[in-house]
Amino acid sequence: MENKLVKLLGIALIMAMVMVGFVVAYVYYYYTAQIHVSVETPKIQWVQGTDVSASIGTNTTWCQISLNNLEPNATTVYTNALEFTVLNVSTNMKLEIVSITGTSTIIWGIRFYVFQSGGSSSTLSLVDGSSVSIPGTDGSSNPVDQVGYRQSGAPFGYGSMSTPVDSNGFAGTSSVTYIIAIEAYGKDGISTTQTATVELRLIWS
Amino acid sequence: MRSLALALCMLLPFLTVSAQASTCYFYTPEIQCKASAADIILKKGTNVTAYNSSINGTWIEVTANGTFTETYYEYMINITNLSTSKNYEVKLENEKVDSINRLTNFTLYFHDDTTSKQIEISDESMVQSSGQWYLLPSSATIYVSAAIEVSTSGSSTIDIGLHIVPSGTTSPEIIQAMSINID
Repeated sequence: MENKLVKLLGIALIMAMVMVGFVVAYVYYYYTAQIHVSVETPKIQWVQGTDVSASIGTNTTWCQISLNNLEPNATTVYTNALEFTVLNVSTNMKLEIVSITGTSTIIWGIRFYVFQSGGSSSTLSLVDGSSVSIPGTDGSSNPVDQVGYRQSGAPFGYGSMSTPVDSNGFAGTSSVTYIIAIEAYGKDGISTTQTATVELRLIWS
Repeated sequence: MRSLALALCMLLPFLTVSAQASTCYFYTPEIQCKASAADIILKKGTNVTAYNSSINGTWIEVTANGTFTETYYEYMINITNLSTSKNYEVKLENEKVDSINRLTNFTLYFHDDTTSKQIEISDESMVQSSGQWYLLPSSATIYVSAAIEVSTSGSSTIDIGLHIVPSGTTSPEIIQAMSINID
């Protein structure tokens, strides 16, 4: 009798433990944080350059341009491919080449230069050793910022062999417009059906 | 307890500023690059002793004899505009010279109906490193000529950029490379 009682108690204890296990497995704890999201005025706006037509989004915070002159074994320079204006607040900014997709190998090297706009012109020294005139700048021969990418074997001056890669950064001035010039070197042997897409990023911090 | 609360209240504005300062905003333009056939191609002229060129004819290296008295080579490099509809303007710019100290004279010209001096090295010094824009009409060929005189035997190399813009514009500017070796 006593043994039966002990057995029953043991079974009851095991069942209780199993049930507790199930119960514990279904306990949730809720911690609630409120995150308020509100619309904010953009910090910059994209402006069409003089070299190529740009597709600019409604709020001028996104844009797309097409560079149609990437020639094999030659350098193409767009002296005013795109512009942007810093709105309201002066701040630190930098450029980042996020990725190159598509037939990325057609780009032997590419470099982006940022100049402050103005009523003068600048002489930009290119990676290949020649130079071009950048009109509509503040006259400084040095860009305020630059960043580049190259394939292995391309001239070192184009920059990093991997992405993402960041520029050193610059102090963006409120209400000032900046010009982006682009130097691109097409790989020898590329054909006209090939395209690549460079995702650039302007970081306002 | 009261002083702790007071201290927290004093720190709060700074904590808020710190949080704002770490906020980043990303603006992401998309740049599409399309390969293009070259309208302008380079070919060796009749006055050179050797040459190399790229697959698409956008880069060339030629070699000419250096002489101790001045020699004029009329056809060093041919520059052809393959487009039947677009005119271009071109100019030359010196990028680099190796062994300039044996070049008594090295003067490069464009010529077709007219002549345009583009680069000049005289008595081992760069006198003119780039030239004026020169018209290259559609379906036309212009020529690069050179006056060359050296003071000693050896080898010199002049790296040159051929700048190309569509007529009436300033951009995009295409730069093709030429190398001229003087033996």
